[in-house]
Amino acid sequence: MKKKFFLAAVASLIAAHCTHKETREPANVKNILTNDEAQALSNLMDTDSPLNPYRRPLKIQFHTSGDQEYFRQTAEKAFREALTKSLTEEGPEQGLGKSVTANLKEELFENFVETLLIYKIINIGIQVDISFLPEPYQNSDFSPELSSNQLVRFNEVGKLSRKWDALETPVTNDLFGNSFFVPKGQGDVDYVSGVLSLYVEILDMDPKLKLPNTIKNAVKGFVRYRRFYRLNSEPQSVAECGEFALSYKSDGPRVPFFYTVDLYKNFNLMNISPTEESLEIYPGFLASNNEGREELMPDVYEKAGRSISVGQLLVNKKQNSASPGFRLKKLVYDLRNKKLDFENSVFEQGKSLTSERRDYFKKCEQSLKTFLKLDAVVPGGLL
Amino acid sequence: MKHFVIGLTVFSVALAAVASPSEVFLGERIAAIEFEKRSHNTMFGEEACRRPQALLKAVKTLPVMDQSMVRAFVKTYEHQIPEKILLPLVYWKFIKKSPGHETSVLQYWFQKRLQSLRDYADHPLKKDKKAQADARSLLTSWVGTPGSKLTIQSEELILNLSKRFPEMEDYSLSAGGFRTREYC
Repeated sequence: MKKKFFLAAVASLIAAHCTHKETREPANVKNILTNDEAQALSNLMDTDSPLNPYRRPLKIQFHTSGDQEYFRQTAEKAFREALTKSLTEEGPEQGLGKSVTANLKEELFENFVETLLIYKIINIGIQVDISFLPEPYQNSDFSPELSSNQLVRFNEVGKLSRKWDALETPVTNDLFGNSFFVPKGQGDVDYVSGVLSLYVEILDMDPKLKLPNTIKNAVKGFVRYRRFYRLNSEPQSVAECGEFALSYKSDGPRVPFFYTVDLYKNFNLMNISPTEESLEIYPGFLASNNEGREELMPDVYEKAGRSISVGQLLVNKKQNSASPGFRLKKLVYDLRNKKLDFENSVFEQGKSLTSERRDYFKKCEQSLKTFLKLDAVVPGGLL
Repeated sequence: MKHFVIGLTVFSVALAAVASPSEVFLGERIAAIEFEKRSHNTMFGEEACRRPQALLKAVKTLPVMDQSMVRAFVKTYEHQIPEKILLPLVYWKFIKKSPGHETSVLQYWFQKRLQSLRDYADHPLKKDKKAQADARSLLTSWVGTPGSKLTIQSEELILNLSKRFPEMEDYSLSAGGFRTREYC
């Protein structure tokens, strides 16, 4: 079923982004998605409107783990071909409409993997990042529409080097600055933007290698629904819990508190229920695209850009000021057990004892959740 | 290249002919359409001439020194040259070096400026008739300019038309020839 989830994500994103309705409802998607995925998808797609002073245009980037240009180009071609095939198979007049249905979404994925196999792209990871980052937008300005044809307009000047700069800087670099275009809303947190990343790797299934469990291992991949949230109010400075004190120190005056919330879904050829799913939250941190699982690309700093930290979350012992304490960087929740995954969560300032950290999470998980307002970021009792 | 010069000369003559507004000169319309057709491949044939992304990709294949030259050129002229002209100009000047095509791009730009000037001069609804007459005389003085002598610094290309004629549109929609007063 994972295939369907993945497909639902891609095709509905693309289809829904072509419409200009005030509310965007992907047809037949929600019934094949789990609640958390549907929530993530609706955050990514449904929140944009032509009436807002900002918009979140869809941008696609491809990465491959082989650094040869050939693989990147072929992967890009394979993706486009799969998309074109899926959209045009039923005849051009029905193509787009039908593509929204779940069946065709499945085809999209099959076509993609099939095409990759035809081009013999094996043992190479391919990543597609579909980002929706906010940009200022004036609905009275028709320049994008007017520049889509060959009309020469004399006042279309002075923008080329800025366009080139924007193409050359990694997408997340502008996120912090552009987040201010999204106005403060009513709730505790505001959704700022999101990135949907899919990672596919086709393994070499040569019988000589005698790999176990072929069907399960032939195609490996995952989808990451990444969302960036902004806290609407100033975070508390200290939350005490028993012998521990959790404190927050902002990196600068009036810097808002951000979260990066990642939902991971795995898929493989066997259509079995997900082997592992996790929710990862980076409090006070805007993560760049390659931050997260090990496979994620690009691994070159210039292309990935820098993650932006907006503040530090420190846990100290109240009684023992000599204890160095530790810094919270990432909280990982295992969605099968709905429990905090202590082993995979990330802490810094490693001099503090592991037992001390474990102790803190045992006693103070609820206090931490309240302090970070995680209910607003991850609604619906998911955790 | 030769054809271009001939084309532009024919068209220039045609422009002068329209100074008498009650007549429709078919030759001029045909010349304008032919010019548009002939220029199309130079102006919009290559993807790098149409899309900033594609041009950037092409620029990145150049040696580093040349890349910085292109960037400096774009920074210097982007406020003066419209983007639709700047893309093919950079392409023919730096990527596929061809002085002939480079001149063709400048001629096309000149052609568009002439056309929008003429549209303005002929427009029946504009209020400032004196400015329209000015535009007409400017047009007449420009039509003789040989296309091969145009450079980026030419007065014909850098004069700020929208400043001089505030009512003027910044584009010309009539690629197929002139709209005379008879038709309005």
